[in-house]
Amino acid sequence: MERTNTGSVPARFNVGDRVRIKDLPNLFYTRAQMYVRGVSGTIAARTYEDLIPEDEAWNRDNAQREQFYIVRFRQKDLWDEYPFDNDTLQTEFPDRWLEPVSD
Amino acid sequence: MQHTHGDDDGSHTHPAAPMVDEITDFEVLEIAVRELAIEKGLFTAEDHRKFTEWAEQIGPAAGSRLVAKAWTDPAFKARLLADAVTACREIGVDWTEPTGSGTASDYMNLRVLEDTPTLHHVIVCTLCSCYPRPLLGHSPYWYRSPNYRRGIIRCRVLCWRSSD
Repeated sequence: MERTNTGSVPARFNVGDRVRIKDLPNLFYTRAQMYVRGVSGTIAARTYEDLIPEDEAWNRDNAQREQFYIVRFRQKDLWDEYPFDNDTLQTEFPDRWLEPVSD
Repeated sequence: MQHTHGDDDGSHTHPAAPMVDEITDFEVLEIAVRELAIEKGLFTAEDHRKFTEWAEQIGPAAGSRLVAKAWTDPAFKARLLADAVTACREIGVDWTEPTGSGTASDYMNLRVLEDTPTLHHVIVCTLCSCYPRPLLGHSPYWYRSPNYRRGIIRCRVLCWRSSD
């Protein structure tokens, strides 16, 4: 996996940004989980540039790569009646799955 | 082994116990798909042999070495937390093996998270069963089970220590 930022890769967000997970259509090998759709979190890390799973699964090696991020959510925002304030969940998304929020 | 019969005339034999199935349907399927893939040129029998040998020798020893080195070498720990795949080479684990681009499911990406006295991490793959096989070998069956993957994501792990 290449780790250099080529500058032409969609990479809109930085560590600390507040983002919300979009509810895009599921396409065969979509890996954005249903339990995070519409939920807001914070960018915890920028990880690497890579093909999105929907392209990688079909060997579309020349498709546009995107910046991947680790997003941190509060467990209380993900699950009804989750009782603990300080627990979080982190998982990874490509750029297209995220939109900025101002909360 | 000797035995006798009441009317033994020395000329009969016992029929052999029947053969039993020792291969599962999935194993039959794997052989069929593998042979078809080799026939179609997707990979060679040599590729498959190398991959099988790699898969059969991975285990948790490398992970133990990694943790021990992180515990005893603070500079290594810092490198490990910053770039885990590169740091793994220092304990002899190359995430590009066995194909040169990793295994089909490992994607050559690893992130190491450090537990502290006030922060405990729990790992799960809710989508499939991703696991750091080059460091820990194959995952235990429960890690891949639907109940673990559905339950742990929304439950807190309770830890306790004995009072003495």
